Amino acid sequence: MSRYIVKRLLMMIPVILGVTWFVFTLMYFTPGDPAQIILGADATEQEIQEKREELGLNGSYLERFGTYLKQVFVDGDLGTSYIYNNSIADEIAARFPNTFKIAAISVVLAVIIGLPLGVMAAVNQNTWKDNGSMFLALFGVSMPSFWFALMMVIVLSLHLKLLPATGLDSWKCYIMPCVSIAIGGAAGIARQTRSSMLEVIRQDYITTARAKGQTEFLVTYKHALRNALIPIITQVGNMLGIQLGGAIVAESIFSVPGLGTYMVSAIKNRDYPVVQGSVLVVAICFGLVMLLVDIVFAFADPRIRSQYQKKKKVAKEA
Amino acid sequence: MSAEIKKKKKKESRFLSTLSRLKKNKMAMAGLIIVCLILLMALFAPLIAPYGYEEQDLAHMFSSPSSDHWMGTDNLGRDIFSRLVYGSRQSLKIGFLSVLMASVIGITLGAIAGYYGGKVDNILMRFLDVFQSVPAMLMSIAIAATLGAGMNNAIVAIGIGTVPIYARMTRAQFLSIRGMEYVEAAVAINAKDPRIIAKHILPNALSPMIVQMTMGVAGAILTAASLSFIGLGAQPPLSEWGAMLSAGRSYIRDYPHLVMFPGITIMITVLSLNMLGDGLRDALDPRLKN
Repeated sequence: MSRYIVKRLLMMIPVILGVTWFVFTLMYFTPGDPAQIILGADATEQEIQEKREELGLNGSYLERFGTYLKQVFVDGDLGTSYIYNNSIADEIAARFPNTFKIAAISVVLAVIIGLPLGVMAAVNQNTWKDNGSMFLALFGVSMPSFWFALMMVIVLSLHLKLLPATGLDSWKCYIMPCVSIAIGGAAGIARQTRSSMLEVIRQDYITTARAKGQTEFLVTYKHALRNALIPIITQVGNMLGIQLGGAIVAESIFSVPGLGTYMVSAIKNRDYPVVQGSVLVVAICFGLVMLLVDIVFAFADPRIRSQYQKKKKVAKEA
Repeated sequence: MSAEIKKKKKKESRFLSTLSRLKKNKMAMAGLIIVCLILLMALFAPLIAPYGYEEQDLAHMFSSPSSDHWMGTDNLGRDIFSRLVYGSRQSLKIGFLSVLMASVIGITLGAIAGYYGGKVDNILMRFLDVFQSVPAMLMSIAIAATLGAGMNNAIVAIGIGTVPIYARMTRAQFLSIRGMEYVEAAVAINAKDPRIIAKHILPNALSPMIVQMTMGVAGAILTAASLSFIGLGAQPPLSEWGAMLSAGRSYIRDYPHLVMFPGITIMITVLSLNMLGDGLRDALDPRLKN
């Protein structure tokens, strides 16, 4: 297993380099002179030239890419914000915990809502419970999460004054951002759970479990759900990976000081190094979450675990 | 001659059997009807909308829903219902064109990778790995930020951001179909590669792509709304639904109708496309329905 993890981590290196190249190229071709953006419209031509020299913007594409690679991967420096003139890596490090907390709570909430809903739909296939819960799930995936967030602000903050509309000062502040993100995720998990459960629910081993006199609860949750978990874990992992990139719009609605808000303000201010650095960090997080998903597969499914063990055995025998 | 008739009949029967299965699905039919109504609304917007989307009535700013203005007016006294009707043109344009772009590029790349395999497949897939290591929404935002705000740039950004989905799906379909006997037969009679790809494999690989495209339009409308919401999509005075939501956000305390109606419109459109997509999936591959 550890060999597999190391192998996967090594495989991430070219992908991360590829993302670095892609994001650098995107920003390289972005119209607008960064020196002009920093100095403003009143700057003289000489001032702009000096700033360009200082920022290293006068080099060729390859020179600049080489410098950027060295800066990121050798010096561990994501650069400096054009607008705030502070370290991007420090700012991301300060904001990431907020994004992580919201992402983790949203995912847990989505699983708590979505999983039982999907299981209920599958075990009651073609009944009103199935149709009702699946329509609800369809509703959830179709609703713009930021619109739902705004509706919650109107009702729960502005009219009922139950929850704060902005910030992250108390546990109450987490409720609306997390619920608004979780609804769509829960709907997706419910739909995935139903379809995975339906694939295993008529298998022979389920009939065998029933024939052995297992309770319906054990048959559903121990025998069926466990075998249906792989696509559900993928879905949950995907949701976590995406949310770690900052629930961009939700964070901006609730003024959460997270990665999403940082990126949105950077986009609005044309603060390209921030966009570049943030996307890179998100790509790394996404890759790590996907690796985690693969590892969780092995714990959830003994067949996958045995594949790793077989490989190990074969390697030993050889 | 008789072979041609048989082939035509076979094609017709496949289409008809899919259609008859689709007809039996009430949810899908409801989705189809709503989608058609929204398309008609977009097509005949000038006839349906009581006011122009830019027409300002400064004497009636922020008015609540009434018989004159069914959904009220916005901060510039513009009729919200009329703006939503005209906005359907923008939102559907983004939805359909971005999916068209993503599917054309994605299917081409996926077909090449799946059919030729080997190094070509490896290079293309590693390229897509890079693409997919950034969530699609964030990728679209990064591209839109680079290209600048605007409708056309949003279409390109959403289109490029979703290319890998179509490419991977096509590749997987091609890999499973490539070994079929009818493909081997086509190779044996010395048919050229483009012909084998376009005439023999692609039509048999299209079913999941049609479903993905239907749901892709729904996803693209949602992404476009998000892009407009953060200022990267359609720009004023265009009445794209997400842009309307974004503009109304500043006034939600006193005038919630400014954000309520655009949101409901987006939701109904996306919901109906998803209902149709679900129905199409079941109709095209009844095994999936369980």
